[in-house]
Amino acid sequence: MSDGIKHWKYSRVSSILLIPLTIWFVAFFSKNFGMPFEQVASSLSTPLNSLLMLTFITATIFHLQQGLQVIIEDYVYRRLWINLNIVFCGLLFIISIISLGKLVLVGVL
Amino acid sequence: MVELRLPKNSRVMEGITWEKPSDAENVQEVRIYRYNPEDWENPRLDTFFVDLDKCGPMILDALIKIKNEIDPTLTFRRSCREGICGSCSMNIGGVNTLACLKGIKEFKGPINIYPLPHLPVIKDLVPDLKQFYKQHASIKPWLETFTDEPNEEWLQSEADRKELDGLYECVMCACCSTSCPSYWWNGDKYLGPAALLHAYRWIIDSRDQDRKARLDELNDSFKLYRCHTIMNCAKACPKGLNPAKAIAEIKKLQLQNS
Repeated sequence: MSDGIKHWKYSRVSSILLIPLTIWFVAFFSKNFGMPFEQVASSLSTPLNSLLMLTFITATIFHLQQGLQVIIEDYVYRRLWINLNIVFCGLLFIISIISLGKLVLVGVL
Repeated sequence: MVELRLPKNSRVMEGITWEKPSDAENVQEVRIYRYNPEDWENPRLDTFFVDLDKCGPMILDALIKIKNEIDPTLTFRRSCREGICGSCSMNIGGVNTLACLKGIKEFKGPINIYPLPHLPVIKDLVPDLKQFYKQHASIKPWLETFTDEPNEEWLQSEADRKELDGLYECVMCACCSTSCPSYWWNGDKYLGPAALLHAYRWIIDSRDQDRKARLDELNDSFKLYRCHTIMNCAKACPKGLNPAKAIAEIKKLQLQNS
């Protein structure tokens, strides 16, 4: 169970990174809420927005995985649950990235 | 692993209510947790009435008076009666503290006294601190040196000595560790605030020469990183110390080290 500092550092870095990213996400989301699909796709497919969304998704899911792991270690501590958490967050990441890719492609084409 | 309820044989039952002193005007009700491993019964909460006009000002005075005059079987640890030995730590009115430093007048209504939370109870207010001491020993609470011994003592500048203020005063009463939820859940793996405060005390001692090994030893997701800055330790400490800050400082040093 070594490398406590690594885990601690990663969760700090991701949480600090998430402050501006979340502000951007809320602004982007409220601006595009209720808009037609094509318009959302096209505003998401600008290089800046798609990059920001990619970073936001990555940081969020990474932070989620780290945070859930701490809770599991605190209250249940079974290797199985820690591994399931990694699988769950991995799947969530893959699905999110595919969806984002699809949206961006729709926007570009 | 979390357990939300006490095991069946640990649940606290109603106990004996002792008679009020007949001639007293100024009476304080005190309810005390009682447990005797030899009678195979559940713990119980006994009610005592103390004549405050014939009692010292502190909770410990009341406990001693109860033991002397009402029930001599009441068991608790005490020694210096002035907050320097750390023996009489217990949970008074829901807060871990030293009975000798807590005034009776600080409470309104009945005072509930329990042993320190989440430790095995040996008898009444005496908990088993074996694990706590073992954890303290595990952080090597002594000066580690590799260079030749000086002819006289190991010297330290006044500024370096000042670094130890707020750390060396710890009396190892265990109030902080047993108030920490992280320590309740993972007390076997997490070292707890008291041991970590001592760890930091030796890490930053200018005379100690084993800092890196000490920091590496603590780089473990359980030993140190179960601290989630809940801050109960700082709130509970009867000596006004701040173990949470010491833990944060260790994390900072590890960050510099990594």
